[in-house]
Amino acid sequence: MRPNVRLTLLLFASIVPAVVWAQLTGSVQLGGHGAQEKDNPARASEYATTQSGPDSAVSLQYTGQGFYLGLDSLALSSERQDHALTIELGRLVRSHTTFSKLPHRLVHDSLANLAGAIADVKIVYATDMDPRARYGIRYDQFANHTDIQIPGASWLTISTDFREQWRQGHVQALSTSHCYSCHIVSQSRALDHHTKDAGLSATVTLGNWSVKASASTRDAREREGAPLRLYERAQHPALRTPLFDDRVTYDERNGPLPFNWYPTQEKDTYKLTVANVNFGGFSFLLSGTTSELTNTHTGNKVDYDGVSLTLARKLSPKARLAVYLRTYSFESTDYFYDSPEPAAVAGPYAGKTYRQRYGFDPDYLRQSALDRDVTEGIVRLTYRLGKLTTLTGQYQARQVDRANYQVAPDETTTLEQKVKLNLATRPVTGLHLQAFLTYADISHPFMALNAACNPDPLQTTPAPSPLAPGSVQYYQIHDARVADLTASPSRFWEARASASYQLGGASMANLSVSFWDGDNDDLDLTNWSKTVQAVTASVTWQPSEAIQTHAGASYGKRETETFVCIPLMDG
Amino acid sequence: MKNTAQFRTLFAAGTWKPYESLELQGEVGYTRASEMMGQILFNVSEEILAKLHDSNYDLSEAHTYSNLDSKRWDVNLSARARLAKGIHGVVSYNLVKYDDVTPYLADLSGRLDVFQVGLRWTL
Repeated sequence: MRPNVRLTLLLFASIVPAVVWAQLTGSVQLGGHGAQEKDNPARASEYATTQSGPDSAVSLQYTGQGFYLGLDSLALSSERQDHALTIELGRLVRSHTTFSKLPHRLVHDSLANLAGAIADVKIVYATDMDPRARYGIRYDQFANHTDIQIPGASWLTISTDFREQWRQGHVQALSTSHCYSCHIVSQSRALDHHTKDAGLSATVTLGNWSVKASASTRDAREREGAPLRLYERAQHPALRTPLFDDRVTYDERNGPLPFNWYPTQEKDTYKLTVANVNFGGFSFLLSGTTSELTNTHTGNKVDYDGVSLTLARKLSPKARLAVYLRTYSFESTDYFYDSPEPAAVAGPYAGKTYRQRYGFDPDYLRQSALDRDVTEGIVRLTYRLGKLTTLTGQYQARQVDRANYQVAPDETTTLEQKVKLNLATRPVTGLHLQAFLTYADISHPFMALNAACNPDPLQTTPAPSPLAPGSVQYYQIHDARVADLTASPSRFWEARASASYQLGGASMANLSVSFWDGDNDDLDLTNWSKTVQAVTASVTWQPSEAIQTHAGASYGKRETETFVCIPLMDG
Repeated sequence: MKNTAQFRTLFAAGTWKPYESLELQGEVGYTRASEMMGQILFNVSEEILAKLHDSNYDLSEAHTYSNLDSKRWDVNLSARARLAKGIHGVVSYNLVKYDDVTPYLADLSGRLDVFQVGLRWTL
């Protein structure tokens, strides 16, 4: 008998003594299945079990005097399971525990497409060290939430949360050696990623007021070591001489080096929430959160601090107002990268580092582009126009002020503003219509400044090699780029509509359409645009109590237009 | 450069109870999805390209390298019959068939067939 079925039966037997047998409700299913896979499983059985064998599905509930026990268990195989156990001891203890197992089969990139782009192996080639490997991850998760109310202190609820997640298996790990050519190597690497969350909270309820304070901690670590790669000796691709020693920071001389490495992370989060269902006529919710995420290997940290306020009230029998405000910030540790600067051992500048030859400083201070102060708000007014018609209007604004990243010359702030309208109505019996319309204007949307296109030739005179006097260097090509790039709109329209119509007593038709049209012409040299359209139609028909049918069709299309620059290089 | 993605889905499902003790169910879904980029218009004169001895800038087919096109069938057929009071026999068949029409990183075509039988006891 498979371990999963044995486990289910053991659980089943242990919670169902004969004295309570008659008070049980639910169902028990025992059976078996045969699975057959063919060819590549990465899509056809991406998350499905491919193991044959016995299976079980159990759903049992027992309600006794001040006691409730619920078990839902699905065990298809050793790799695909879902179990949930609920226990309630009156109001004293309410506990919900789940355990899930799931496979995730992954694609094995053959790397053959590299040859389609560039056929010359002097420039790029690939080696697959494990070409027959099948990659995949087993995903397991255990979670428990328990509420405890102490007798005589019904105003206090203590809650605990615990979650453990495992991701184990083998994945494809790629590394690239740059000189003498781009040599991409594929290796199989074992993965044993473990994440553990534990949290404790206390909720005090006095009248309409409730205050909840919570603290949680997370530990995420990879328990398998990183794969190693011995990178090729840096040398000229044709001459095989060490001409590039001043242009690489590591190669064969450093020995095997780790890559595809997961740092261990720890995160502590503290949250305080104050709520009142009737505070001066308003529903009131104020919440503050602070967290610190630490990379325990480097000591680098990301701090988050946020406060939010939600207010809602009825203005009249027909109108309701809701307001949401939030402000939060991210702040990360800066990191100074001190680049190794080896000297050239051959060529016309032997004995000199790259900096000594060209004056280029490869060191830099890494400052996170995610560091920011964000303020956002939503005001929503819902008004009942008639007995069966409701109109909702919403204004939404979000300001993102980045600490270290410019989205326009000398500008770090993005301002997004959206206006939304929603109409829901039933104009005639059996017809239900809903329509949504959104217009958004984004001032200084996220973009990369001077990220592409060199309009003028950089190398106007022939140079026999990048080492020759007068030859253009990569950093000069990088610095000469002039065109801004983005994948974010500076404005967009969105419209959605849906209708359902009751066709007599036995059938119903549904139709929904959506349209999104956005562009960005704030870029200096180019434009970006995107349109998305989708339509779904379906019909439900129930000619008799014994027959129910449902059929439909969907169509969708997305078009994105952007500018591409391809620099001409030779050698 | 234009990038175009499209999907089309057809689906149908039905339940039929020919007898009080027998229920038949069926679901069929078909999805065709594709994504492709437009051809790169490379406006560089032959005279300049002729000077590039070590590089190949023939991009006439480059837009086809990342084409995605797939067909997927999802079929589920099941039957449930009452064998005795509170006891049902269940049987089901599931098919997932994925055709990778233009393989990109790898040919992802594959198929999974699952046949399942069981006895369900309702308390």
